[in-house]
Amino acid sequence: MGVLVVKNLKKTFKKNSLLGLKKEKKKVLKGISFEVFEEIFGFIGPNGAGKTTTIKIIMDFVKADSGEVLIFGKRNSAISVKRNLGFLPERPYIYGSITGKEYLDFCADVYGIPYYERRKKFAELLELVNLTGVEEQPISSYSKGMVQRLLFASTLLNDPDLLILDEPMSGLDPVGRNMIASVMKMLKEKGKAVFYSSHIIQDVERLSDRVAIIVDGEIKLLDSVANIVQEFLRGYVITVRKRGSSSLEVFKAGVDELWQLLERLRSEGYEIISVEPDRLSLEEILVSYIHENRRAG
Amino acid sequence: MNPFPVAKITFRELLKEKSFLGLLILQVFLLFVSKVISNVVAGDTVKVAMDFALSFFFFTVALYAVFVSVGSTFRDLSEKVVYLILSKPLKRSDYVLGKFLGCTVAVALFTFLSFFIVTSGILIISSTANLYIPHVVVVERIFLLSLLVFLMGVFLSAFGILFAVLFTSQVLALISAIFLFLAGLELSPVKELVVSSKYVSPVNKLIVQIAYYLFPNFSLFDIKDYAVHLSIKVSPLFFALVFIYSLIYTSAVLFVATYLFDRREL
Repeated sequence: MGVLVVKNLKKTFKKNSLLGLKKEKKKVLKGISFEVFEEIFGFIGPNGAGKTTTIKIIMDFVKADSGEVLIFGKRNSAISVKRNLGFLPERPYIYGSITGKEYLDFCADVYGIPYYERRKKFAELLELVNLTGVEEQPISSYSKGMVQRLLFASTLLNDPDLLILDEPMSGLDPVGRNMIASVMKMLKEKGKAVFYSSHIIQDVERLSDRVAIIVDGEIKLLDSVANIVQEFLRGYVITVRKRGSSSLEVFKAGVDELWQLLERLRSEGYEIISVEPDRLSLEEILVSYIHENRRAG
Repeated sequence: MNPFPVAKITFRELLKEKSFLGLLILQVFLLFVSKVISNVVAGDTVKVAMDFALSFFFFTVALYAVFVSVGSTFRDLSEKVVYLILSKPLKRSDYVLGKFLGCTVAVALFTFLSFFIVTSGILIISSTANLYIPHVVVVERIFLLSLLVFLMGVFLSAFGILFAVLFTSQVLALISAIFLFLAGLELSPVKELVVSSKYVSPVNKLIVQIAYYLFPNFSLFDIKDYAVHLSIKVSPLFFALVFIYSLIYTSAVLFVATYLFDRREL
């Protein structure tokens, strides 16, 4: 069984129409299911697809109409599961008047970390997110990226087995994004699970072991990145140079034609410079699902 | 139950808020205002100054309690700080209780500092007047008033948290809490007037009586007259009953706030 199991989640939000005379219903989740194992699991979709609602339900901030969420085999409403869980919401905010250390102290108080262990732990985490030396300053003096990194560090204080991150890269510069990505990889190497949503598809493609694409409240695709790349492979682009010539030529081959073409080119005296897969990017796949959904809807 | 981490961070946050220092400075300013008013009003200048200074003290603590409880809780909900808090092994009841305890400690500190400012001011005013004032008795009476003002602040904090959880508009939550406070202050004299009147119908008398028992009675905490007029006596039983009343009512309000917060989608 997965570390996080989501079974057939359905959620409808009621919205007051003009003048509040009639309540409109909007199906936000239409029965989504997936499992997260000890891996990096990317959750992508367009705005309003249901990513944040799914995360809110997983975190028990919002109740699903039906379905079930199990974390470490227990219902997500159980307080005990949160002892081994780290969570970073989208666009997080924390009181500007307190210092970074005071916030970390709050987290340590919740997890019951004794005072004599805190100094070392805080120092390690702050170093990890490159915030050493600013912990005594009020959070109001931090940049948006620094707040994000501080709160990300705080999610690691309890050494969680499952990390749930809602858009962890948003608002970060490339250095910050890289830092979060490397911590996520490090956690995976330690056998932890990371479930995160993101709209920065390049990051998801680069980082994730598996990906789920959610469009209009439905999971449209759930597979490993390697399989998706394979599935959406259109062919190969081969760059060659005729022996004795300085100009490059480009050939295209279908998925099953690669070896035949390479043999032929070699026999014709071409030098193979590079062979690159011609495939849809994750972003193109996502966009194609969105268009498909619009056409169907 | 583990409300203490939330209580601690709430207190830390409230202590560093500008409103804390701002309202304390206002207390000092209002002391000067009291002194100025006492000079232009006929009567015992020290008593007039005390009357005004203690009234300002009473209302400033009430305002502080309402603003911090509504403001802090509402900000947590609107800015989604609750996501960071409730993603940790804490129950929603821990959050409500922690918020309340944090506000309570902040109100306690604010009341104590206000007591110190107001008492010092009154003693300075009285020492400059050519009237005999038993300072020890005055300080003791202002201290007893401060205890009740603190209880009122705690009581109002519970209501502030309830309204912040109940309403989706901060302005509405603040107005409701202030309205409730003002209504609770005036309910007792209104009830006395209505019940003793020959011109009010029995149905209206019943409605007023029901409202009297249903609404929180904030006039119970208002013993300014006792602090100002040394001839007035209040029995220790009164203080005990007010304490029990606020304890029970505050617990009930917090229970309702927790019940509503448990069911609220965040």
